[in-house]
Amino acid sequence: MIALLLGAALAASPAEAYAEGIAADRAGELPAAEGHFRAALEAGGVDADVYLGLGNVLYRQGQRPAAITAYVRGLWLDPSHPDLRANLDHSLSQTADRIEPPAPDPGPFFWAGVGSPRLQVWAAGLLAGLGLLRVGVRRHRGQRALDGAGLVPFFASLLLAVGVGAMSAGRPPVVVGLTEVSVRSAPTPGSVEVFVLHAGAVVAVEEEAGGQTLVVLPDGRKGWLMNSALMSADPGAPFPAVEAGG
Amino acid sequence: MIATLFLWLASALAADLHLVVDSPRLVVGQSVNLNLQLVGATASGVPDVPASSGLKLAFAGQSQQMVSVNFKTTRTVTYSYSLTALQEGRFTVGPVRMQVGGQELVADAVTIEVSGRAAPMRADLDVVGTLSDPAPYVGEVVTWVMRFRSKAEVAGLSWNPPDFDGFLQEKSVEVGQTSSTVESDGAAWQLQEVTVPLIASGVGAHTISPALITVSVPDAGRPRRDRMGFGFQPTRQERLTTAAVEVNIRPLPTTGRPADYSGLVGSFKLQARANPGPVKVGDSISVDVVLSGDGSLSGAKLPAAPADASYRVYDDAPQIQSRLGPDGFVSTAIFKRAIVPSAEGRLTIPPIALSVFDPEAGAYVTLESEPIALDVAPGDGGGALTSYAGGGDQRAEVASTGSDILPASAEAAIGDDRPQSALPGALALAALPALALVGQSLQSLRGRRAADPARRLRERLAALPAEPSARLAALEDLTREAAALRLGRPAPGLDAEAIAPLGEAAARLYTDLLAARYGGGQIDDLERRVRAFVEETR
Repeated sequence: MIALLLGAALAASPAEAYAEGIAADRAGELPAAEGHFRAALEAGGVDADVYLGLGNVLYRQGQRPAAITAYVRGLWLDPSHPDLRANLDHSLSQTADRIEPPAPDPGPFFWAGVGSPRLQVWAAGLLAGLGLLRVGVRRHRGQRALDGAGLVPFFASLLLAVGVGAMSAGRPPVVVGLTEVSVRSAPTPGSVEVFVLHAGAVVAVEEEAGGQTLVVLPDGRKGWLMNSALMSADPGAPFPAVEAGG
Repeated sequence: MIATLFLWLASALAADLHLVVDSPRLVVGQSVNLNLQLVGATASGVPDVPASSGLKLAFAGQSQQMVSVNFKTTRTVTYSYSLTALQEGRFTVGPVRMQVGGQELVADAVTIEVSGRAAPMRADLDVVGTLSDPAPYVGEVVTWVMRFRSKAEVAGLSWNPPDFDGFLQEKSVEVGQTSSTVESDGAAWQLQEVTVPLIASGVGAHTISPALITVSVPDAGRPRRDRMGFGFQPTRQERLTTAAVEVNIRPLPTTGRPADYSGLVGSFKLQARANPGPVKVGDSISVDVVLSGDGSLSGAKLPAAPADASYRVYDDAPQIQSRLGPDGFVSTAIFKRAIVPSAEGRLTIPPIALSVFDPEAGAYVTLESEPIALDVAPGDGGGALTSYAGGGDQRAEVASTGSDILPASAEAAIGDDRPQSALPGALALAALPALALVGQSLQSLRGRRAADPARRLRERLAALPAEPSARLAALEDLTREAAALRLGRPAPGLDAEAIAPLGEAAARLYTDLLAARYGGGQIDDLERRVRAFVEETR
């Protein structure tokens, strides 16, 4: 396993590591495929498709909470990815807790939740560039540089940028990694158990303190549980190691 | 260990079990909530609550509550039951015994007083509950009808349905409710009927418990309230119950059951009609098969076409419509069957045969539709279908491929999908035109600066030659060009007269310069005056 992971880590680029992961997956070499997908992530390929491949490999190895974590991470990068959404829904249908996973919340900037945030950043840059180009052309022609129509691309660019900013400011959820975990009223030993979560439950995070996380259920119930019981769905964080069969 | 034992003992001692009933005095047919509360402990499974034969208990659910008082949290698990009074008498519920943490908890029994059918206090109210057939066959649809009559004006009628033990409610039609006025004993009665369609489901003896009706009726014994000029008739709540109905659900006979029995129970009629019109080989013709009767048609299917039929058959899902009429429950299923002939000539579609159990006859009967004859013309290809491979529906269920998740694509373009990773590129995209704009502005500025003649004059003024005659010549040139700039005229054509419009000082400066250069005049303050003249030029 170490050799596999080491070999995967030496892959030249995220794209190559991803391609090797796909090939290993299709050959049925699931641990090797997992190593390649992890290597792709570590090489900077923090990509929704890489998380889809990693999630599928983990799912087939019976590591459902880790697979759900991968799918949620991928959807955090690209909320409109249909395959990720389908596989996440299917995986969640096999969990014990019926909880709707929290999605990136763009607030009033609803359009930010439609497509990939990365594409929206590119679009914002392109619109700003086109706006500036128009200003230059008008100046060159001796016309007034900035008129009403000329403000439109800048305004659209600003809206896109602010929407992506609002999306990115949201805290990614966490996934319960243990079979069953007690959620308590306070992060202290004298607290009481308020409810129980099971493996694969995806819950929103409100606060972290002292090695514990305050999670919130969709119905508003809150409680603290140990960080060691959770896997972060932050797509930029290192993907947690999982034990076989977990 | 000792501490653990102490905690265990403490928790066990704190645990308690209670039975709580909403009301201990009921009338026959009335249902109330009964809760079993386990305080300070948890247990698995649903506790068994014993009840006397005149009562019926049905588990309704379980809930849990945590209460924290003075930093002490207590958990209460509540098991909820629906308690229905079936007959008059004095009955008990409980005691309930539960094993919790090795300790037996006991909830004391509660006594329930059930009074007889609430006879109306008034002779002008009446309610009756009847079943259309007290000895139905299993699978048969029967109707339970509650008729409430009142001569007096009533309001706020509500009813608790009985427990239809041994029956399932037929879901294809809503519970029927009608209101009418009937003549009886020379008086007009308001009649309200509630009809519930039921499917007999449990073979054997059952009891449909009484239904409880609550109405508000005028209370003639109390005076009208007369405040503020309004007269309100006081009302009183009357509670009435129907009689319990004893039922014996009979099993379907095993003798004479056809091998192709469809599972339907009821008196049905079967009709098939084809839409008229010419048909060619390979074309489809629609046949409507209508199955109607007083039984439930949920899940009804038509028999498949014969295997050697010279046509193919495709069935749509049937449209089922049910209603409650004067004669009870009636249901109709319309099957759209597409038939595709595969050979030209005379085609006779044989009758569709459907085996059902008829409760009225008490026997299995086979329904048959009329045969349908078609004249099939040659198809567009001129003859029979070459691809014909036998009758019946050849389609199969969608097979699973063995993978329940969607695979990742090998063609995916892998990059960094985080929005911050796109930021440098996006900024560059915006910066390129911005840089071009800045360049354009700089170039324009330089052009303006280079073309500014006044600025050039000032630059020359700062670099005058040191030799006196050359310096004087340069001063004259500068003065002449500055004047030309001010006048908007070419410098070479200027003389004293031309400069005169610029003012006396300018004209005298020009004259003094000429005198100094060509006539040996004084030049002491000339340079200062020229500098001032040039500096003022824009």
